[in-house]
Amino acid sequence: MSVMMQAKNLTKSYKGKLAVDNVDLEINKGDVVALIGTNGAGKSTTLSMLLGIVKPDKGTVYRWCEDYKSKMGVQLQSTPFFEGYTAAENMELFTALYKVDLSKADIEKHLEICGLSDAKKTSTAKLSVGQQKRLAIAVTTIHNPELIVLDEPTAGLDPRARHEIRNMIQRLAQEGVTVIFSSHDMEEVSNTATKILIMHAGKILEQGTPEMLLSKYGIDNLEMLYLKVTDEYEEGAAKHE
Amino acid sequence: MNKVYTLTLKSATRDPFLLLWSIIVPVIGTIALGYFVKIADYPAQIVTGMMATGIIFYSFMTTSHINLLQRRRGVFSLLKITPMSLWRYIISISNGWTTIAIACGLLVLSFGVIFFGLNISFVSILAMIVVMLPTSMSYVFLSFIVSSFSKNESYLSIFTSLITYPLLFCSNAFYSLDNAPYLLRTISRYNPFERFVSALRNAMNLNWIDYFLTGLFLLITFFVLLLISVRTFKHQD
Repeated sequence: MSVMMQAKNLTKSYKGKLAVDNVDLEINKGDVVALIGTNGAGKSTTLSMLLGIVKPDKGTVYRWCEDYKSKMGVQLQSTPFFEGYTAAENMELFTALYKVDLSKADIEKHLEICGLSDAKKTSTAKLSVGQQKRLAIAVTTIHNPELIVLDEPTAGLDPRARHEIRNMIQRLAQEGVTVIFSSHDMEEVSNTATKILIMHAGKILEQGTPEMLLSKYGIDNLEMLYLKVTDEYEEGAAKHE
Repeated sequence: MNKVYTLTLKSATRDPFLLLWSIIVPVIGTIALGYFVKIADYPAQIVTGMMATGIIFYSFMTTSHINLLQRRRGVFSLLKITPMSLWRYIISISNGWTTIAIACGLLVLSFGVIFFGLNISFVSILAMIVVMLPTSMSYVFLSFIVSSFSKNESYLSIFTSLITYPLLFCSNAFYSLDNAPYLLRTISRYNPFERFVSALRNAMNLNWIDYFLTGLFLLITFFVLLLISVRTFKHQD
């Protein structure tokens, strides 16, 4: 299995506070990796370092090719839409950013796949949160990327919208796209991820397939697994102090 | 790059701030003041004053808000990881905004010509465009700078107002500062907005020496603001 991304000893502090602490991880081709943890666990900072948005204080990131920017689709936590643009115009703009040549018909087809054909002429500011997220994910796929990175794709969404996003992730995975996403929604993780990384206090406490980790801890659901792993860490840290 | 430029122009046509502050207000202001203020040559003065005002409102105030929104939504972060470089994108949108600002200025000028029968040569119009180009872009650079240190919309509104209104009121855009206190006249001499208004008037009256001197001042301002705005982006890296 070929390695898409590999991080070694990734460390990052903000104003003296350690956000990510010596993180090692590996993402292989075809993986659907879920980075799970609470707010402030270091998920977004880790993803930003993997992507090259944030420079690590220490550590290295290996990426599968030099031209990785044109083979990667990214949805950041805030939806990076352009003010005053319609859904179709935003998608058109992203074709320019990713340097792909799509016709208007292609763009409409992409919008239709994401269930946004009715909203193509709607300003992105007027789209519902669910529609914005779907559009955000749709624009990550317009250049047929090999890797997609989604930062909390279902945060703040209603159950139906969450379901639609999960379906989109599953469809991408079936097409052979490697997906990395951060989340604190265990249902989403259990439905989509082939590998999970449990992150807490800037560290990766556990990583592996959901089945492997559940059997290791003798637990039958991811929520309990997450609680057990983080509680054990907290107890260990308290004893250490 | 062309697509970014084209989409910038397209989206501007739906921008209510552009319509109000850089088209409606300057056009109505020009017509109203031009008719009601009975001073010799005032129509020509108010036309250039309102052209400059519409330009600063769009290329500084309106774009500052767009920039802040783009920063907060992570657009500039995203551009670090797309094949299009951040600089190419910034150049494209800056060109788009500058084009729109110049178009607004020319629109106000055309209303001045229609309503007051101003006799302006083609060379004057060209000279005006030449000076509008670096000045509008300077304001766009200033908008990048101001939006980079504004935490939110409220702070941004305060900063843009604190910059724009002193520039406007310490200038000869709407009224003459000839009888103003010495201090105010001295400030206005180094006010880039006043230099801009002055350059437009010199272009209109074909006063080439003054035109080139004010143009030089505006070019220096352009390079200073360009350097500072580049530093704000590098600092954020």
